[in-house]
Amino acid sequence: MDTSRSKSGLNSLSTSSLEQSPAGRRSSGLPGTSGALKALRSRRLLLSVESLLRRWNPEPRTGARMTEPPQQHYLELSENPVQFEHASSVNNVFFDEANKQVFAVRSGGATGVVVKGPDDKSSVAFRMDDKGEVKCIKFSIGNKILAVQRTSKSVDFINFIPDYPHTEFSQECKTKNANVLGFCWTNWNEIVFITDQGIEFYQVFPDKRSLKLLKNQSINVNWYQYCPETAVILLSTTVQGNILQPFAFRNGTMSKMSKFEIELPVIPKPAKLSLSERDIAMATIYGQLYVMYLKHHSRTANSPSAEVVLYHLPREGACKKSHVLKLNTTGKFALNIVDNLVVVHHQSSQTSLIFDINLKEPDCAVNTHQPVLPARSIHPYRMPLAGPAVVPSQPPVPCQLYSSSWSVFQPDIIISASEGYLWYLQVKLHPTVNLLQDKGKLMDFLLRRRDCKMVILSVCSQILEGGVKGSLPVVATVFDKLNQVYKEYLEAEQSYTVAMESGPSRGSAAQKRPVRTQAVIDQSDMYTHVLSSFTERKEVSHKFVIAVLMEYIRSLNQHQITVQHYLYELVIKTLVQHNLFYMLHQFLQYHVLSDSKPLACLLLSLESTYPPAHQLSLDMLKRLSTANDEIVEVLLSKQQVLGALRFIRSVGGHDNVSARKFLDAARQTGDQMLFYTVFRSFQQRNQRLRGSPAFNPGEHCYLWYLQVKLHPTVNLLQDKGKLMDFLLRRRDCKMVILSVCSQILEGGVKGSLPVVATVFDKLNQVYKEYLEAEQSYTVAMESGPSRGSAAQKRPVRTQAVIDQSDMYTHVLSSFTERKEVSHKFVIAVLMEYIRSLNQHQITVQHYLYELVIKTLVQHNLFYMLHQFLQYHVLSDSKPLACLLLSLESTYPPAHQLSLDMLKRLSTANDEIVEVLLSKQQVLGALRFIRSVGGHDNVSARKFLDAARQTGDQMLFYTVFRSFQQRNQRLRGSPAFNPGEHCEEHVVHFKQLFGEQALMKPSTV
Amino acid sequence: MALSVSVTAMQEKQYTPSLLSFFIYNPTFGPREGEEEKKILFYHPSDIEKNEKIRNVGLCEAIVQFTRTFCPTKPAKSLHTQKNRQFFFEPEDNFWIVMVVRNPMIEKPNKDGKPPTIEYQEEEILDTVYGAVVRQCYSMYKLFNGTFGRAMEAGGVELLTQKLEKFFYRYLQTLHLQSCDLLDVFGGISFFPLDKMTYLKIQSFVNRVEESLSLIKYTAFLYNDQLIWSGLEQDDMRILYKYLTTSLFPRHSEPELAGRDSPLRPEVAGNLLHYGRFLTGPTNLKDPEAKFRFPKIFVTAEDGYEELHLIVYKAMSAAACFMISASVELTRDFCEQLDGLVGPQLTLLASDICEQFTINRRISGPEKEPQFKFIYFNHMNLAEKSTIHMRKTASVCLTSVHPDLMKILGDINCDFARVDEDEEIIVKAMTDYWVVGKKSDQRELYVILNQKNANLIEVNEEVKRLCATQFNNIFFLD
Repeated sequence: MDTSRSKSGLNSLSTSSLEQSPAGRRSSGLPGTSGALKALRSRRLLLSVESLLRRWNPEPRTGARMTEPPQQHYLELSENPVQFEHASSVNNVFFDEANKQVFAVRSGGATGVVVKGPDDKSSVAFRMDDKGEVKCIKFSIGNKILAVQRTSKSVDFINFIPDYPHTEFSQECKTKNANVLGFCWTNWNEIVFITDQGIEFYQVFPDKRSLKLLKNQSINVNWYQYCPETAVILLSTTVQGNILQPFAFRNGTMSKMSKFEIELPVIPKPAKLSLSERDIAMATIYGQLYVMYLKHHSRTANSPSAEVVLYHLPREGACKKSHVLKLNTTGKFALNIVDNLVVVHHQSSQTSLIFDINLKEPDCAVNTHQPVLPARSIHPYRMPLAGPAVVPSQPPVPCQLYSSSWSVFQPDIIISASEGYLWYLQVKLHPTVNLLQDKGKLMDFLLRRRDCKMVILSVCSQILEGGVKGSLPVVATVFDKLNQVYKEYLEAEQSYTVAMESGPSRGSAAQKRPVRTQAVIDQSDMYTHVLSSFTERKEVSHKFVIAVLMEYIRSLNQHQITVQHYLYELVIKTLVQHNLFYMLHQFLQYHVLSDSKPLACLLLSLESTYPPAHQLSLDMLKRLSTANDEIVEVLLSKQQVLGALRFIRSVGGHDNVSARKFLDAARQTGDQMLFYTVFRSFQQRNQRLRGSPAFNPGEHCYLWYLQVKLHPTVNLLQDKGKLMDFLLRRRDCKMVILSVCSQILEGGVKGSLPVVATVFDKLNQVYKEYLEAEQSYTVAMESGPSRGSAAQKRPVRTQAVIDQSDMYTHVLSSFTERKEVSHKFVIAVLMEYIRSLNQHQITVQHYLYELVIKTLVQHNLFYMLHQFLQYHVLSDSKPLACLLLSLESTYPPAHQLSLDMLKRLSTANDEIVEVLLSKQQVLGALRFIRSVGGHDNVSARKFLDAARQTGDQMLFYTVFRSFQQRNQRLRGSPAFNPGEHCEEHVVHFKQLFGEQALMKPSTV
Repeated sequence: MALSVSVTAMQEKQYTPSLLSFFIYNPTFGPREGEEEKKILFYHPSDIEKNEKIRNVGLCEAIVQFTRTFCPTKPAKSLHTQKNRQFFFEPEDNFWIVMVVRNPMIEKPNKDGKPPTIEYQEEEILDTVYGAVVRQCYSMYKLFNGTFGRAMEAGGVELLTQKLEKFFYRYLQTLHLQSCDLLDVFGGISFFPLDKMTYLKIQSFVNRVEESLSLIKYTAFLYNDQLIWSGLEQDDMRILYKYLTTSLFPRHSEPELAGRDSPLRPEVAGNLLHYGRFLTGPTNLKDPEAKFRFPKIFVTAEDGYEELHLIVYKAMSAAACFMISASVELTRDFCEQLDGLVGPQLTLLASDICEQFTINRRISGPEKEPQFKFIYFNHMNLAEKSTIHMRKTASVCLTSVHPDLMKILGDINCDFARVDEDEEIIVKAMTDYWVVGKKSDQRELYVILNQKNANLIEVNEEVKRLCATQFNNIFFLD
């Protein structure tokens, strides 16, 4: 053993490349071989179960493996490997695990040393003198100092720091008669020599070109291992080699950790070195340092297969055996750690297994693990073109996987020295989805992986959309697992925030902000990627959709996570879509959907389809206790003015509430007593608050105040005409006048129509005068401001100008909705108003017509409507025509009326054509457009579309020919312009009637 | 029809209202003279002489016809006489249900051996209450048999009379007219108070069962005779709830209470211990003779009615009703599967609910239990709550207040029904009680206060306090 470790690269030429020789130090490890076989030798290569001399079987790959579906490979080699010059008789290759650098040393360095690292920054090329065969070569951290071991007694150093002397300097080991087994850099200027008699810890002074011994320890060493991540060196001691002594290094200090014993399967007699370096590996898994021991099966013990035993090596305290990984087979193995998974490569079957030590195995004894997934090979890999000599067109060559020339390093590195490649091993998560049937276990597995988010979300979608029967418990389990992680993150985040707020200096200042890993799947992720699309799938039953949503909400609740509003919205949307209002009601009753203002508003909007939603919404607002304003608004909108007032008083908000809002609402009810009550209530409030019943100007209640003051005049003057004359000359008269109008109309006194007419006339007289003044002003302005009387001022619009919009908003619209007034009277009043407007030559606004039509239609007075239209009482307009069109289904003649009107408008030819085409009256439309001379500009396509839709071939022929003729006339050719998009119809025409039926372009 | 009689001091005997007769007729079935008997589809009591039956039906027909002339859309609903009161109800075109109730009366003994004087208290019973009872009779018939029209289509008058006979013969015996009150008018549903998490667990349970036993179309979940979840629409649930709580559950709980047939022997079903059992269908799954027949019910569907098997399964206080299309034959296999699936889960759930409930009770504190007697009803979700009524049993519904007060409640309810707006009515009863009725939006609340010397303002304050403690999470105008 000892001899074999004295290997320098060139020495080892004699040994067979296929031995899994422990020759290379991890730093020095990869001497090239001279022969055709260029194996990289590293002790960490492949942990061999069999004798050292046994070769890997270079079995050809079986066809079966090739036919495996590609998605079954869950391991792959990195796409961009580090390439280096392959090992050969003149080129020795070394690998440094600490810096992940590959050294290609040509002719002892004389013809060049090429260093390739994981990135370009760590790649260097240089030359050094050939002072003998290189056994081991490594840069210190940051490429500051190069250390080269050429003899078994000393190590040479070269500065790589600019401005420092570049001449080599050397250091012999202090212990007499000791052989240097190797060395490790623990810092940019700290180095440990490991000799067969102990370890020596030095500090290097590159400027002085000397080293200072910091500490040393005598101990018999068989071999050593170094874990760069934790800076721990593990020494094999005693004769059998199974007592392991770890040392930890940090900032110039060396600390001895507690030693431990590896249980050997067989105790050899007489005692000899029984624990091979190749069977031990160190790596950090889930942040903890483990020593992995590959325990081979022994013929004497009754364990039939090999296993990997993990020893947990804590920073402080004793090391203890913590996990056993069952390999269920024998042969040669190698270990990698990828994404906290232990990957075990098995050479003879050319497959790999993965283990997750955090995955609980319910059917196994504690800490005994079976492979997570069935054994699979690494994904087939093709070597990209390498070297300038290769013809570019040459296809990539398949790479032999599990080759005997492979060396495996921790954590995830695979090197083929003979081919000059360094790969990182990677786990592909997508293929695992179909390999693990137990979705709960799958989630446990995925949640611990690094790039898991999208895979997890796709698994969720898959489970939901598969719609497999009995999948609901699975869905529940999956949600619970996701939310557990989510919850833990939220809690960590919160405790961090609390710690920050309580002052960064106090307590443990070291508290770091929790990192949000990909495994944290929050509600928004779930909503965006899974639930929203799932709820829209038509083939899934709504029952299942709701069950899933409720399951998710349950799981969130169970983990005390506040449910986001959009999830509730999704639930409500789904329930409403399927008319499951009663279900919704029950959910709300039990506060499954938590209270919030947006939710309350959403409910309010449902009131028209589901009346109880109103009550539910109010209850919710009440419970929120911050939504008093909203409650008042809701009540006022329902004209429950007193209710609103009582409510706002009960919650003590009466003093600050807007009086105007209440007064507005009270007035709209048309109930005078109510208005009086509300008004007095606010006056009393004013009195109490400010010592005066008057309203503040800011409250905009002056008009109401005035109205109350003027109220007596309204009732005192019985002659309404005279009253109007009086009011129209007052300053703040508008609202009073409007209220008088309402009063007259709603009083519904018999014989009041003449009064109404008089009032309207008086109002419109003033209105008219204002309009005329405004118009003459506009004309004067347009004809030039300087000409004529420059003194013309813009007419002032006094409150007495009551226009149609005022009348409509404050009087007519509410009046027409009153049920107790006969519709006859309503129509009479409306007609009276229209008459009065016409009489004063005022253009009637469309909404008034609409009001008339609405009222007529409501009472099925179509004939009356017909007559009004006949006599153009309702003036023609496009909106009116459209309104009429919409009535067609209830009153067929409306169609005709509408068309007539459009015709009369003469600017609505397009609309007429549309109407006719929509009725499939294609020929009629064609004739019409011709008659108004619009034929030349009309869209042929529209007509052809309509003609085709009728399914009448002759009609299509006629229309088509008509347009061809038009084309001929306009452009001298019957063909359609490309811009007309009629190609489809030309094809259709040819299909129906043949090519020859097409009009030929005439040469005339 | 046991007459309940109470004897007061003075040797007066007081008789409560009781059912005199109940009949169903269709005037179009015997329009000609001499065929009047054909009109009668059902008559209780059946031992009445034929001519009297015909006479009574004829009278009702005449009254309805006569009153129609005044208001064609709303013919008479009841007829008040000194001795009794008749209620008319036309549930389907031309089918009339008539119930005749004898007014409550007091019998005062006379000296000298003269026959006792009888004093009828014709104002003591309320139209709304008994009108609701008649409608309920029909709804219950419809729940189990479908409409009259359906029976007519299936087998003509003969089938209909058979069905009526079969159903009402038993059903009328369970009517307890003396204890009908405001709650019958509401026909509400009592909901079990529950925290959100437990509720979601129930949701989860229902969903899972429906998923794995896809035959199940609807599910309802009750605890302690109170509803927690209904997959049925509200109106169907209302009558089914009535059936479950007034008939099915009491029938099964009375033997339990009496100690017979205790369900607390865990059935060893397979290897699982659970307390689940069928309340409808087979009493013992192991019995090789067991019949897998379940009652059928009719509920509204998109196109008319659908017929369903009603499986009621109970574990401890939790009951789940599973409804399955009647077109499916239910087998032993299915029942065993259901038992195996639902039994253990429901048992677990029942103990969860019980535990949660006790925790909640402890938090809210027993001292906060109201001293108020009130009835609450919400028309929107039919939720009712009463601290006046004791636990209902099959035989009798106990109230803790005097019937006079109950009548006042009924009167207030009538007043509320008349107008659409929110109202509040406060009444001082003869017996020093104050009765307050409030109506807010679709909710009604009736409170009975026993404060002898309280004035109106104090009573008002007291009610406000009640609202603040009992109804603080709903929008209740005051």
